[in-house]
Amino acid sequence: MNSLIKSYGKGLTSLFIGLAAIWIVVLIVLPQISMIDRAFTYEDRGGAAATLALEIDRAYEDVFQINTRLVELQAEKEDLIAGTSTAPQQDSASALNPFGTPSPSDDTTGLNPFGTPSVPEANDTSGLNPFGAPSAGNTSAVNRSLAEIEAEEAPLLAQKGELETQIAALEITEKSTTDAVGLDTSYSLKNFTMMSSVHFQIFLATIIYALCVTILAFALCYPVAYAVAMTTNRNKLAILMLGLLIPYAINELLRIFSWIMILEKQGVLNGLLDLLGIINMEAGEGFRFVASNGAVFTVMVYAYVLFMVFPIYNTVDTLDKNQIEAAKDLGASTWRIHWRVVLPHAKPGIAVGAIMTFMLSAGSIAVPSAVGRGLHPDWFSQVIYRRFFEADSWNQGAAYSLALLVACIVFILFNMWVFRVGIRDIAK
Amino acid sequence: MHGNDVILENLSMKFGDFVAVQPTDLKINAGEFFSILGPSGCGKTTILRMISGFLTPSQGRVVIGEKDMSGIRANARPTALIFQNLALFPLMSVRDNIAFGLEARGIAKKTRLEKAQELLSLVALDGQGDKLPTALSGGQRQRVAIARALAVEPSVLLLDEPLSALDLKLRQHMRAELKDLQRKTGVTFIYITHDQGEALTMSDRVAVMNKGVVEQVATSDEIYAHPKTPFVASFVGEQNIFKGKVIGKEGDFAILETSQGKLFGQNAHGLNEGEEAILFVRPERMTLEEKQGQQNGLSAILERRDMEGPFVNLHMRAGDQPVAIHVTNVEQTHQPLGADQKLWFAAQDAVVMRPGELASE
Amino acid sequence: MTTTTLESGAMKEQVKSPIDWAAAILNGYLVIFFAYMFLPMIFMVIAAFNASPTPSVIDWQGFTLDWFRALPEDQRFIDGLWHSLIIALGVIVISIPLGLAGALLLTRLQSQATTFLYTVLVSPMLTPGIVLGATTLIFWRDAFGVEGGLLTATIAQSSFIASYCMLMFMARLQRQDIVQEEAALDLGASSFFVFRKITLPFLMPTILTAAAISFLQSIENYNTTFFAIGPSWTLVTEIGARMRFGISPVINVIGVLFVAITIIAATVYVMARRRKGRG
Repeated sequence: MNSLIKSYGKGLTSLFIGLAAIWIVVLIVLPQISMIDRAFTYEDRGGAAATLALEIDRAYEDVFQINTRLVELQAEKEDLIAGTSTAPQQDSASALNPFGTPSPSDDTTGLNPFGTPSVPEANDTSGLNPFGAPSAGNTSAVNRSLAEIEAEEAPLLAQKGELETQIAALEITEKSTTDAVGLDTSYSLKNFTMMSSVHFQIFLATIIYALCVTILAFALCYPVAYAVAMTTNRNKLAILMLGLLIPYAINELLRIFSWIMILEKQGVLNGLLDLLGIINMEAGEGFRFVASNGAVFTVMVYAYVLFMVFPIYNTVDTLDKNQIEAAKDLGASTWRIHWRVVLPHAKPGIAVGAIMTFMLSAGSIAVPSAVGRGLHPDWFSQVIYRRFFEADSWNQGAAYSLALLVACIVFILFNMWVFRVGIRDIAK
Repeated sequence: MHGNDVILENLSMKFGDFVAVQPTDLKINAGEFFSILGPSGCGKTTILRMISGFLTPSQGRVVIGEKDMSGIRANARPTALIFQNLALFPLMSVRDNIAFGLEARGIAKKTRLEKAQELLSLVALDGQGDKLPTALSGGQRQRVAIARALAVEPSVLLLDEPLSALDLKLRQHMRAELKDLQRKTGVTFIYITHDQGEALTMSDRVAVMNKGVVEQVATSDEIYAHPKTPFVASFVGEQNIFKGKVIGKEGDFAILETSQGKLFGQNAHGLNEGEEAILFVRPERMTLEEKQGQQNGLSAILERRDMEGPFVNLHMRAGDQPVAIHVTNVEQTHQPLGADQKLWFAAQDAVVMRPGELASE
Repeated sequence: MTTTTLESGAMKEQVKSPIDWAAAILNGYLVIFFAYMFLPMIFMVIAAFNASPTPSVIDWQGFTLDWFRALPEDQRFIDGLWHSLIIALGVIVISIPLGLAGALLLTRLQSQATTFLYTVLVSPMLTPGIVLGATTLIFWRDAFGVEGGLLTATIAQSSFIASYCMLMFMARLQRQDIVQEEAALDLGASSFFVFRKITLPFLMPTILTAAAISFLQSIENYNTTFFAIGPSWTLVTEIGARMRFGISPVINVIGVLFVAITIIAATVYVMARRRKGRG
């Protein structure tokens, strides 16, 4: 404290302390406390309200099923009219996520599946599996006449209308009940213990996937970081640095987006397979790579690998190149040079890279939602989002966020322990 | 500008258990060029920082011009400090650097620029005012630092080894300049250095420090000719050192029994018979030919001859004792190496002291 | 500075070993890696000029600039861009003073608490973006009744961007010669005057860099903003929304613009650095 006053005088010292205090309290600590507070507060909506909520949910689900079927029928109709493809759709290039996040033109609750804008490019939008199984294999494979289809359509439309009025009524009741009864809140662990097994599995899967992404990213980028650090030619170095900086600086979302053009059914990858004669795109063949595990992995590694390259490059670059020469001179194999000389030196960089990559991939929402298209099994970040903005259960959302944060902290501590680095080595 | 006297009263500094400066009393006269000379870590910089106000003494006080400086911060003291690395402000022009102290005091721009111009002339840097400090040579930067310090019209200028970063030629040139500036301005200069050449050439008086203790304060001549302690004797200039025991006294002189026989020297510490003692004699005080009144003589073998131009260093060995002598080019011997030589010196050119710590080479 | 670069350059030259099979494999790998990095973006750029309403490279329906004309007419993108700019300015205004205060305190505070304080101040950087967004949203609604919007997005982004700023300032301050501050004090300057005339000008280049980086970080941020912004939107969250609901070549057009700006900026940056290294 005295050292501060000595350096800056009383006035400035108190100004700096004030600013730092605001930062810590208002921007860091209090928000965390609010989250923790909510995470441990269980909202009991009361028996009647709960039943109502359930009923509403069910009604929405029915409406959704009907809607899905309607879209299918519509597509079938279009096919008939166009008379081009009589073959059933094996796959769909694009998919609607029925319970998806709010769309641009949507209202904020995003609950209304009818609000989703029609997808202009979805020429052959076909059946969707609402529960997001990767393969939306739909087998409405029988050719029918237009009349038959319309016959099926009519009662469905009627049923849908009925359900919608029902939902409206139920929602009004729900609102009044909640207002009257209020929410019964109490501190408990229920938000965690009541995490459904599905959610818990998603949580574990996300952590494991994120770990895999981290390891994969390290394996991919270590040779690159090493090669760039060892480059002696000034021009080559400049080009390599540009090659790393440009993708690093380009927005994450756009880089993810660029993959859709590769992975889609009408994408570059299928085009390549077609060229090799493995599939015939003309005949409508083709894999839908989007939403597969491989695609999510590939894109996630693509999106975050550069966060691994730079920290490792920065540490390897400081290695005295003579050490490598010396090791070679002493007869060490390439493998041994890396294991005994380069890797130990790069430890802090690896720790930083691993932490950043893990944190970004575990908390990634762009990759699973863009590449997964709602068809890939959920990522935990998507679950958190839905808790907040669709289930309107902020407390559970807070609990899930806390779980994610704890997972990241555990990973950071683990890295600090494994690589024997301090917090000052990590955040530089 | 004028100088003020600086009085240190019982001043001491402790850092934890380490005593950097033992309680010290010292009076530096107004308008004096005063040097504090000592090896690194002797506490000289600590004293300087206590005078300038960057360090608060553990004990005692600093009085400048009859005013007690206790509790007065560095920016309110009538002192200005020249830092070892000069600490010029790299982002400001030379002129702005010099005018900085005036700007800090809220002096009008016109006045302070005039003053800066005046100082630029004083340190012979006319026309360099708009350059950045990095565009100047080492010696010029030195002068900017001095001008910057003088701009605030301090009564005491504190200089912390300001010449150490310069090369030898420039350093010798700057000695003359500094001395000249000090005379012109009349400001009290307190100059910290580990370089005895600097201290001896420039100073009116020199304080020699070792391990937090001021061992002697005197004029350069006095320090050189009549060191008071073995440390001062061995730190300032070169010495030949003979160890022995006092076997008799003759007035102000003591007779020492050494491995090289009986040697006579001034009894600086008033030693009595039977006491252990060391005798110092400067290499240039020894001669190869006996002159009148030189009671001390010893024989030695010539081992090495170092020709330094105007004078020659002869390295000899008397028994197991190395002895160095400096002779002028004219007086030098042309004996071959390994030849026996007789060496002579007078009793008043040798000092006998109680054994104590010697400066390590 | 110059001499050290030259020296290390010369040293590197010495180390250079004859081309061997290991180097060849490494070079081959580099080619594959950079293809992995760049091909998707090349496809994205190509598809922006394809008349096909679905962004595609394979299904070529002719060259068009229609999508470039469509972008300025897309009000949500234009609004999103404005929102992004407003947030970015807010983030700069908040993050720079906070980061500066934190850095100044941490570099001079001689206390046991320094490491703890440091950990707290950098923690937002190590927190997943969605958690930052969510906590900010919760706190501002619960404490002040502020719903998600541009304000919460600005605050949520600032909480971690300030940490980046702080680290940049700390790196700069560690290279500061404290003696200069002492010299100024010795010449009679007050602490405030020293800060204004010595410390602040010394930090100025870093303040500008930090502002630029904060701006970019803010504009590009998705995760945190996505959670904190509520019903409003920025350019990037709008891109995100479009990616889920109806991709269109207009996104490719934005991609083309981003890629072009980035390539120009990065090239200028690298060139400037090389010239500096040489001169």
